[in-house]
Amino acid sequence: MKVMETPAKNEAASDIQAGTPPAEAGDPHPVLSLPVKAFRWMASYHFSCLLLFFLFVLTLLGTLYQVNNGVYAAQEKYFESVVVVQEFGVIPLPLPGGRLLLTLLFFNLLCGAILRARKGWSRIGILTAHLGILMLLAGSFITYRYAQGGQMVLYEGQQSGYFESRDEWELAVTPLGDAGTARQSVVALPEFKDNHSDSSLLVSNDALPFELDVSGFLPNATPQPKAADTPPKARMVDGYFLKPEEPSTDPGRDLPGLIVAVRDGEGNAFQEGIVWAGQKAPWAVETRDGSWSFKLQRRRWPLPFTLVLNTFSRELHPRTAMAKAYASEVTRIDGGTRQAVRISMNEPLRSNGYTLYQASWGPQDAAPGTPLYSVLAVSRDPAERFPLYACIIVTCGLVLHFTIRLLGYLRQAGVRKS
Amino acid sequence: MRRPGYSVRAALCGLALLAVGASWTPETVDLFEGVPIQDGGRVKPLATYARFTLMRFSGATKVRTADATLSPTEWLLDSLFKPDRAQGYKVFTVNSPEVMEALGLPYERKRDRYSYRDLLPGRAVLDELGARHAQTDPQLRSSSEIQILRLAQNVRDFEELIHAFDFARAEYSTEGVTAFGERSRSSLLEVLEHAPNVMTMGAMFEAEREPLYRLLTELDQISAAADSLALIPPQGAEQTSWLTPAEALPLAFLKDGASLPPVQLMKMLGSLAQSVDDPVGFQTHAREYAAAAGQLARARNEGTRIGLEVFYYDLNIAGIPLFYAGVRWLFILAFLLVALSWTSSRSRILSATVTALLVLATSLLVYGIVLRCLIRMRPPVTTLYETILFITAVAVVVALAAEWFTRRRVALSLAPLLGALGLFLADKHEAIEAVDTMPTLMAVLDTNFWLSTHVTTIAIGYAAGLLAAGIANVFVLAKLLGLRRNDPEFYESITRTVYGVVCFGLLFSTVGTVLGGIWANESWGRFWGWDPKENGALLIVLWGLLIVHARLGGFIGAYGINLAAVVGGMVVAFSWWGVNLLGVGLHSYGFTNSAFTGLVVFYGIQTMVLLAGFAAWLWEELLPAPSSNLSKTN
Repeated sequence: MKVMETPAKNEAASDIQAGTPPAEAGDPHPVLSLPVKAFRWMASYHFSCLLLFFLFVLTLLGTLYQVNNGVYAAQEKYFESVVVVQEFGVIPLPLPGGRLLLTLLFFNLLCGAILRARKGWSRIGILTAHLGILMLLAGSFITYRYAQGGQMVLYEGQQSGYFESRDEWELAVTPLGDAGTARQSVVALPEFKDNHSDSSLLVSNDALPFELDVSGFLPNATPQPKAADTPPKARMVDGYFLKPEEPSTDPGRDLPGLIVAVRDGEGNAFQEGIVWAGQKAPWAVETRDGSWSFKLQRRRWPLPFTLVLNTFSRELHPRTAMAKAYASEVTRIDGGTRQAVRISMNEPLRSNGYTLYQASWGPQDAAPGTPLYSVLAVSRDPAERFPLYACIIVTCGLVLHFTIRLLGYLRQAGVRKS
Repeated sequence: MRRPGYSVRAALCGLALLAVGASWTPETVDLFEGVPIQDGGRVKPLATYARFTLMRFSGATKVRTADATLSPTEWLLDSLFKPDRAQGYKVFTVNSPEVMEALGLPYERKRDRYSYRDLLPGRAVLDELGARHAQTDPQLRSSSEIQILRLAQNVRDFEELIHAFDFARAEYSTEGVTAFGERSRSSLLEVLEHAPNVMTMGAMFEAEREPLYRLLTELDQISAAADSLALIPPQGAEQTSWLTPAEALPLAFLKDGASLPPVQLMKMLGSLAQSVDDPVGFQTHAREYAAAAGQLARARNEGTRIGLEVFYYDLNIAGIPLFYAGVRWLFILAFLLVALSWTSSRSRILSATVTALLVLATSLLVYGIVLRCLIRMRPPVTTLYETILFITAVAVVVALAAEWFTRRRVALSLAPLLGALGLFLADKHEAIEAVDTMPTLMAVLDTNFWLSTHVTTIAIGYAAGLLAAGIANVFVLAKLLGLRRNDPEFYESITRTVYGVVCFGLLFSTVGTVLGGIWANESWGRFWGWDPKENGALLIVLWGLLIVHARLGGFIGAYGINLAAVVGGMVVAFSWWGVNLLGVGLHSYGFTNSAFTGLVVFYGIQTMVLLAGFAAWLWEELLPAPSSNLSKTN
């Protein structure tokens, strides 16, 4: 490690050596094993600076990328990736992605600032601050890995016991008639998330008297009738095909489509159809066991309680079109208990590990008297409070550290003066 | 009935007004400054409304005529009550010869002001061009197209002002309406006097209906122009929107209309409009109206701090508004004295004077910020404009604190420069944007807790980043000029100060950024969304961390720290102004186009400083220092 070989020229030199075991007398360059070398590199300032520099560059590039591509595309390309290929003019340059950098930063902090750092009262502040940052990074990992997020859209008087994703879809297969949604079967579509329109998914379960072959998934598409300019490779179903569309800057606006083949027990397809998220009515199929409907719906997760939207109010600043406040008056029904709650901007509802926020409303161009709907963002994040605790820890740590440094500086200045 | 001596006083007042070229007595202007009006979602003084309306038209807060200089309120009074005179004032700024040519305006300069009368011949063309450019995608509009659109809107707004009191000046057809006797035309006051009766009569007698319909139609048509100024507090606490005269007029025709406060205010406005040529009478009616309107507003618990707001904008030194041109001049004076102190042998006295001036200027700046907080009952930073004031104040205070520690006169020299530049930027921003700088806030921002924690800590981080960059600029400049070549302690002291300020900024930026995430989680349900503004804050934190860790690792020395701090200033500028120019994200409420040129200039200068600093470092590295005491710092 360079810093060990050439000590820094400033007063921070003592910090740099923190936690470094003293070299053997007479052997300034002891031979180190590979794991020790790796650990020391992982804990070094070199590595910290490298990571911080790349994070800086990545954040800058990801911010500029949003101008033309939107925040979701930037997130996917820069901040949720392992490697980013950035094109500088015509030269492609691979860079570490956000996921990789944040993971490495976590271990760099753990090794360098916690395990290897010199411990002592004078360093309690900086140790605390680094612990806070570690907590923040750990929290962001838990959120990324385990949090669920979606929304609930309710008109006044409506109720719901589930929330739905903004950009993930599922195929709902429901028997028509008396059985209704009780026998509904839902096919999640995570296999198609990475836009493999060639891949297919075979689905069979006890609830379905047939097998499904789901294929040709497109994350954003429109069904088109066959025409002269139809690509020859387009897969036609009943004279229609799914035309791929450019993904929009907000994936919540994309309308996916796919092709479903319904097969009998021997694997023979007896019905094939296009199922598209934008279609007005579901695709219906007649089988020996009755009629079934197929539709693409936003992925749903059940809530442990039911929410009724009593009223939605939108207050404007007088004589302007600027919103002063939005609020949803709801009733939370949990078993036999009913609780009236108000959800407004900056005042979410927290219940059973879920948090519901006032996110939006509509229709935006509604005439006076038109019924309005309220959009509540729903999140279930086991690490939701981590940032708050981390912020408190970091603040305490940094204040303590800089106070200790300032007092030291003043003491030194006093000595110099005297 | 007029009292004895009235004519003499009126004549004296008239003569006094003629002598100074003004239209209104000082007391009348004072009274109108404090008249409450609801605008932009809040109740504010008419003076504030006049100030920002005039600023929007002309980019200035004064109107210079051939024989007088008018305040915004005087200009507004002329526009409302003496429209013929106001139409001749040159208040419409046109910044482009292209626009002048398009409208057929004569011009000698690239930027000029025109009166409404000057613009009238090209009025139709202006409307046509405005309508055409309104169809263009806002992102693709050229500078000239934007100017034409603004000018067209400003002219329409001005027309609303000059016609706002037409309803009170007009006479209405009352022929055939029994309540008016033989009078075929009646004034507004007479109409208001008989309004409840004529409705009763109209309901009872068929013959009354046609003339009544004629009267009401005429009233409706003429008063339609009086729909821009919400001067009349409504009745009932549940009504939040104030009324314009056009909206209040129908109340006069209710059965008990005469007793309604809005109708009484309407009568006072009518009396005002009809006594324009009588300065004393006008002043008397103005007093009556201001008192009644103020009382009604206070009864609703609105406009209770109007007096403070008028005071804030009125405070001046020899005609120069204290907030903030006056304070800026104090900073400039302090800077000039600092410059003198560097060359003078009596530098101690000068330094003490500079310190005193700086303390005075900073105290006044803080006083201005506190007044704004009291007026709106908000934390110090709620708008982009207020970030400038707050960041300037923090930068100057931190510079003074740094000077107290170091006693090198570097931070002391920089403080007045930062103060003057910051307040220059604030004035420029206010003039270009020309919107109320104490506006109502949109729902998500309407929380004093987060505004006072997240926003202020982030702004303190910005201030520290910019101050560190400023001191680092001094380091580079001093190296280039070879100042104190034999005093390595001087450069070490600067570097220590820069590093200390970077650490100070890092503390606030880190805490502020995390607090912002927590606020976002409370509002939008996610801690971090990689929004440009969030990323801007993160960039500052990352750069600060990089400086600190690179120094701890021994990778950078004095030059490295100072040049990195210069880059840090550029990062702060990107986060503060640059991300708003990107026009994307949830935080786009601070969006402004006018900052672009300033940002480019700033980046240009700082890039030159960086290159020069790098060259100076190379020079020191490559040329081994002779026996001189030139400090070699990597």
